[in-house]
Amino acid sequence: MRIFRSLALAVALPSVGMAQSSPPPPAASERAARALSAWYECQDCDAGELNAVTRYGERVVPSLIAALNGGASPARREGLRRSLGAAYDQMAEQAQRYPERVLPESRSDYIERYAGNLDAQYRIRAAQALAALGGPQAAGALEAALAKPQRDDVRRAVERSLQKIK
Amino acid sequence: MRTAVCGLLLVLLGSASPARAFNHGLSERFCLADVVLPATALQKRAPVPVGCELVDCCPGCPGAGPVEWRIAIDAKILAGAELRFEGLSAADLKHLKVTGKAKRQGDRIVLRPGESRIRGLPYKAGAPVVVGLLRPLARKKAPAGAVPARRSVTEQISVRQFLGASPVNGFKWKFAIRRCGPIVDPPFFDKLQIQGIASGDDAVVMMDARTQAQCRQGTPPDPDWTFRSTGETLLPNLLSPGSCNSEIAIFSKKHAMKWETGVPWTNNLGEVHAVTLDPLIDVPVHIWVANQSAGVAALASAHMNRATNLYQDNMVGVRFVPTVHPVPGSAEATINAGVGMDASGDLVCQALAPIRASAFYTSGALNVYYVNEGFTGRNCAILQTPHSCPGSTFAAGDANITFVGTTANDTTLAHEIGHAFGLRPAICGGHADSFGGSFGHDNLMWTGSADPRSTFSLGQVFRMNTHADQWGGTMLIQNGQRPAPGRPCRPQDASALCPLLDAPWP
Repeated sequence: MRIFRSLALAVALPSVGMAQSSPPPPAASERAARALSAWYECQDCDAGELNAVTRYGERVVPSLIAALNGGASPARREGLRRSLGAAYDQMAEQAQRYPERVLPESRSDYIERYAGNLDAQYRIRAAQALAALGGPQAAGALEAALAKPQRDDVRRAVERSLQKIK
Repeated sequence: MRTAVCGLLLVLLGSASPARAFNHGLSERFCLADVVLPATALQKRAPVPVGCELVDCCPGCPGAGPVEWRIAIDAKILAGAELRFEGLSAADLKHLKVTGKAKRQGDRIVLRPGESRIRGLPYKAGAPVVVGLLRPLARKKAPAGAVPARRSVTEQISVRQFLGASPVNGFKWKFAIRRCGPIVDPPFFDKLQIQGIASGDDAVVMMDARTQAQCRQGTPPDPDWTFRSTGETLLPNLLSPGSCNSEIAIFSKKHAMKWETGVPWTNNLGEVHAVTLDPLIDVPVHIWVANQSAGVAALASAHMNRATNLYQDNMVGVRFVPTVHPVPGSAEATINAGVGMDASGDLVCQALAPIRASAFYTSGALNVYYVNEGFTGRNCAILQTPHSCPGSTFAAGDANITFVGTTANDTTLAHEIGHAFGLRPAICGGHADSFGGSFGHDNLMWTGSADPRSTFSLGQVFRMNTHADQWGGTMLIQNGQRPAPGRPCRPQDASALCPLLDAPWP
């Protein structure tokens, strides 16, 4: 019984640590930021990444709304652009060594395509997490996002998220 | 006692979280001579953008403002690191407050092992992102005994970024350093002869055998016996196996992986063991385009080419032979129903039977479905991946089925085929980040970041060719492209028969 009580306390800690009345302590804030980052970036997303975000409840709603509207951060975009550029340069070098290797598109198109995909991924995942959390603030943000121009896959994810909330 | 239990639970819950790290990290392997001066291998600069990982930095963060970097260098062989900032004027650089083991030297900051802080880095919404360029520094000579025989040591540079008191971004650069040179010392008596190596190719050999001194079979903590060969390799006198494992696995870019078990070395001196390599294995892949958007078929072909090149570079021994088929709009619902989100938000495979019964599935081959849904990718060997390992049983799906969504990156397909070839379950090391070890974000099975990936380890490639498990093992064997039987080497297994999952290339 004591163990169950301890377990309940431990599970509740993320939200306790980030109580509404005061700003969260840095460690709790970092844990939430890492959970958000893991959800936005996961590739197969089969390891409970969304659950790890929704544990934090409405405290992460403003962050999710920021990602819904803004996608990836400027620093993350810059980091990805540089690593995509380096990957393309490596492919170009190999294409010179192995004539059968063909570059799929121009360097700038390659970077734009996959940086754009990451940005869309952030927005889609933010919409899905907002739908999982629910509430009027989440619904309002999703409705507002629908009024803006979006990529097709982002728009569909926002529409579905809204349907789920309503 | 109660406190101890609570503490333990907290630790367990903390470590069970899939939120592992911010998305920036590199992991590299060197031999000692490469990391002492002139250290030509250490010319690479790692870009570290200044600012937050998340667009709003973190829940409850103080908002925009200058960022502080806390840099820790844990190194005895490396001399430290050099840091330059792109997008920062000389005047801005002068205004930075540099403390700890960091010292300004002209237009750069030199960081010595230990802790350093750099305060006042500009981070403003809408302003161009300043980028730090880190480069490791080498010593003239490595300290004596820095790397024990047959082991490697790991050194690390880490950067944590803070906005006020809140950590908002991070970067880690790991360097695994081992001794250089042959693992085997003369005198040599026996010989391995690899025949049929294609022009311009060389081979990597992973070998278990009995020597005068011991069973050399990679039983932890001993590393696997690996070396490169262009045809003939001299060996010490290898003995009849006795109770030792005796086998050879040979990997190359232009040939199938050659796997010979029960290699019959005898105690005689001067033995020559000859092995003839076989051509690359052609792996048919049926790509079904269930997305009417323009350019998807071309994109799928580009992803397939990328996978072929990456699998060749990593000596998997296969060449993909794709056939692209359109799927009519009327069948899209059937295809799309095969993948979805469960109540907890996990991406799961479901309703595969109607797909398998449809005209849009080829049995005994890899089937990849490009669908108009906003996710990256999912292989269906396991319908729903559990969140704990080991001890769970997971329902089998069909490893020949893979879905690729609209936010895929150019290595998503290569990653999912890694699962099809037996790197699973994801949570048990099928994903490199769940394994830990020496994997970096560039590993093709890394899942926690959209950054480009390009490597498989030797331990992964061995399993992709040989793995047997309850979900059908590697599809190379199941689909008849490699001979049965396989070998059950789960990701976390390390023994005489199973190399470490992150066993490196020599």
